[in-house]
Amino acid sequence: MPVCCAACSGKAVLKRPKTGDALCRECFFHVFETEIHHTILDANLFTAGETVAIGASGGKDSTVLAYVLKLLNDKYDYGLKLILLSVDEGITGYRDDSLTTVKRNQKQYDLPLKIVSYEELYGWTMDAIVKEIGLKNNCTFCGVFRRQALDRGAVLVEADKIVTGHNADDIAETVLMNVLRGDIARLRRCTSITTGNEGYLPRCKPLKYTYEKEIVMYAYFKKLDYFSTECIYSPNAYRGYARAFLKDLEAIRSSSIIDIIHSGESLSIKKDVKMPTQMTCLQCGYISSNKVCKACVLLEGLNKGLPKLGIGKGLKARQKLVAAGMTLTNTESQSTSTESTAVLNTDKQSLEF
Amino acid sequence: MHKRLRFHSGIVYIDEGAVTNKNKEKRLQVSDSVQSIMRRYDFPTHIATLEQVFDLERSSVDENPTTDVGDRVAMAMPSLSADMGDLTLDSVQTKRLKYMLANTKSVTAKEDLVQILRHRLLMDIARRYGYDKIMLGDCSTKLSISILADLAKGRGASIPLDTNFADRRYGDVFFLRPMREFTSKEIGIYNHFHNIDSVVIASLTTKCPVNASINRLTETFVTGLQVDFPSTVNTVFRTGEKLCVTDSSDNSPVQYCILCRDTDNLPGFIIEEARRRIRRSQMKKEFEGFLLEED
Amino acid sequence: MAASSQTGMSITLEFSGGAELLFGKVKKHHISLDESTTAWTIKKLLIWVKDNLLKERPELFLQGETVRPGILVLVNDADWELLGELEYEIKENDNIVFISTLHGG
Repeated sequence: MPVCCAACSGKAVLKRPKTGDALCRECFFHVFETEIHHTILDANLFTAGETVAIGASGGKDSTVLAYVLKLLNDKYDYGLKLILLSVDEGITGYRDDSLTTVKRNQKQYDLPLKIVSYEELYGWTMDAIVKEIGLKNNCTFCGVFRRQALDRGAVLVEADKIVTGHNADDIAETVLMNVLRGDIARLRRCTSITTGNEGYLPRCKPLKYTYEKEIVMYAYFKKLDYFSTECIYSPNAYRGYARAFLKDLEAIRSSSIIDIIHSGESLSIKKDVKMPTQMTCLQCGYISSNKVCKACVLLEGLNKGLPKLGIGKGLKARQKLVAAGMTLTNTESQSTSTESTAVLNTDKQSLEF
Repeated sequence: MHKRLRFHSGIVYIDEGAVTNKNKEKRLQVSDSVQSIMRRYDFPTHIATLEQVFDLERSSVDENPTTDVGDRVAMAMPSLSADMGDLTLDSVQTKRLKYMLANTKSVTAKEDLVQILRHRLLMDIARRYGYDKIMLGDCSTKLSISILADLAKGRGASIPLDTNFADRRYGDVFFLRPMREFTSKEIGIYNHFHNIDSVVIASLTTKCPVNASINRLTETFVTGLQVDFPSTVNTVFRTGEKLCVTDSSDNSPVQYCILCRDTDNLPGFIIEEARRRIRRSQMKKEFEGFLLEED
Repeated sequence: MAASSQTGMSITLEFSGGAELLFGKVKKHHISLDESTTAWTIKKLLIWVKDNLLKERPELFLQGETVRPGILVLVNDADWELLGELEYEIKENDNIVFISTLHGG
């Protein structure tokens, strides 16, 4: 028995997890795109004339983001200049393949593409880092480096903003992760649709309220070209638990994902809780919660042949740094107890920025 | 050697047999075993059934009581008893409770509803007998599960009230959680060494699959993670401690939902949607009534 | 019962979004289901898939008797949630797609 579309009584093809409505293909496209449009309007994400760098990994989220942003920019005349921005971590058999996808997207969507590589920015590919550090903490390096790489790439293309493909599931998962890790500072800011300010490029998440299920359905019905393989350097196991929990919750009550985001948005933190203070890194000038940012600590470790330097407790790492001859005006660590482990997984590990 | 308690305490037991469709005999049997334990502690005891919550006058729990509340509540309440046998276990109210639960579709919602009703009844008993604090046995394991389950249900704003030491949202009577620093393991071992008996009472999700409800799934998740990462409960619990109730910028008092006492300030469109749905269901009811008359 | 065809039923299964990795990296499978006294539901198909197609780590594809949460199922390009999920009765030439959303990106 065919189910009818709730909006136009055509043949329904999917049940929306957020609302339970059955929709036909055309109505689904309309609702999906319009919701993202409203998210952009409600949060005042863009101003006409801006250059926006789309963090493009070749995966489903960033592919759908690039496609929809291009479509909305034309349809509603946002007046944005869109640029695809990819980071090449230097992972043979994974990133090189996904970058091929991004290059195809560039042609399909007729958008300029800029690729920045770890090798040119840091002098190290992930393949080389894994050779040094092994498979245990490599995701720490990748996550920390990627965050900066996107920023630097965006500056190179003179972008005003970076948009990333983080979807509702990613944000809900990050809320759970930050509770499980006790990272109160990140818990407070992880649900913001725009992060990063004080002289740094703002990062926005236009897919913040978009369910992963709908993104996959959209990509499938639109036959979008995306790359779907797990990073060969294995994603974080702990994050896997949170992901499985989230998916189980969604199976019980499909609004759970948006409910978690709502919860995250409505948390208030006691005034007497100590928060890490934001400052700029003495080495590279990048925003940091310590005198020397995590990327510089990790990089210094790699270059000094002490690759484990930045892993583990922040204070210890910075003491080791001093011992290794790095010049610091003040070695006292500002890090809170949670800071050191927290850097590990701010961003999605595998394909996403 | 025992420390002298400097306050007067009583024990309340609320029978929830109707929730799991237990018959009268079974409910009496469970309450007998609970009472036999309660009697060992030389405290005044109070017994109620969950369905008695329907005997409460609506305003007695919804609003903070004024000075004349004693009279009002006393009028509203049926007699509480120290003996289950005196209570009717298949009353109209029992049927009403069962009907209410049968019409609550998801197990998660049923569990949450039972909790809301239980707290209302506890609050009323406290007011009627002059208690100004209600102590709950929640331990850190249970509270860390509540924190994650609250998050999953969109009730993040209520986490501090649902899990911190004192919950003052009812005004005159506080809920306190004196056991909150202990894990369920510590409590289990303590009880074992001191030969402290307890009664196991089946709940809505006893012997159900792990995905029976959000609460049940979260419990499985937390206890499972705790095995591999023994700091899980403690970390989640400490995170909850750092949260507070939203301080409104304009110094207006926090508003609570009258049903579930959530503090969440919902966005306007949600409230509007709720109103729209209520209007629609009222119209539907009126319309149905109209049709019936026509027949 | 008493199906008209005596030769079994041919259908197409597709795995994508990373799910194909559990099926020897083959995305599209044309299969034939044997004549059976009970109807072929997706529930029954999943057991068949587990026994006949799944190459490794069944726990990444199945959870209990259903697919792991996070794997989308489409029958002839329609969401299986609209069709009764596990109880859907498979018909000749059905195209059933399994898309994993669990891999990154």
